Amino acid sequence: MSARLTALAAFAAASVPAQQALACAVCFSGRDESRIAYLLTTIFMTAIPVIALGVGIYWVVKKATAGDGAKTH
Amino acid sequence: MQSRTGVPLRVISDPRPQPALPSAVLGMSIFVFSEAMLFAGLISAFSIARAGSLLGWPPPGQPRLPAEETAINTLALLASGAVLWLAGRAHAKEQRSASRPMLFALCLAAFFVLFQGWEWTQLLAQGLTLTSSQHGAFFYLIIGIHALHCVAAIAALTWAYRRLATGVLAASTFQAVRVFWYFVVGLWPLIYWRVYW
Repeated sequence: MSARLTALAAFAAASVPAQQALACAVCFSGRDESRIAYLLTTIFMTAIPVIALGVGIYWVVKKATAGDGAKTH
Repeated sequence: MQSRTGVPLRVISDPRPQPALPSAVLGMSIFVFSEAMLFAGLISAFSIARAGSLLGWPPPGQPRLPAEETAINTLALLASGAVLWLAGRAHAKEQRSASRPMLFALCLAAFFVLFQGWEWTQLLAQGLTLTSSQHGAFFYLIIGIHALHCVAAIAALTWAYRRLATGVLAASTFQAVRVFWYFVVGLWPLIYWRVYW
């Protein structure tokens, strides 16, 4: 029990300076334009594969369903 | 109908289910997806570099891109996509009727590439080179890779056109070539908006 409490206390203590860790040396910038650009491009790069897969699956399902419908008639 | 040995031939329909997506189109779609991610990475890198530029964009001493002239070229490219779509519809009805719109789409595509080549010579003369600034590096990289795709797509369309002329162009092959061209056409407005404006 005490080991768990110690681990929890260590985690809490480590969380205190976590705000500083947000200042990533790669993508942090003092300029708002840069930060917005990072945010938007991250959304852009994340959304493309999801949208592409979604459209692909939707299209194949739609086509397969239309094929099944044609067979039953 | 009879075989050479005189035995009557029977036409047997393929009992296997037909794929929802022909292999040629599926392969091309996967390729297009990977290329879309390549361009997404390039456009993202460009957007971040542009947003981080402290001296404004384009940087001092670098020419402004000819957005107005390129708008005409954009219209030509969009028109080629629309005409190729019409060619696809015509091909589904009667193969030979796709020949003329396909040739017209090819001419518009060639116009786009040639116009862009002329534009590059003008910009090079004004001092915008691959090493002159980030502006030049990103411009030639992004527009150059897109132009490379255009040339590859024109080569594919020309090959498809020749097969159509000889009557051996399969519908799925034509569809796959069209998917590639639609990608090239559909991507351009995004590039134009981000890079030129």
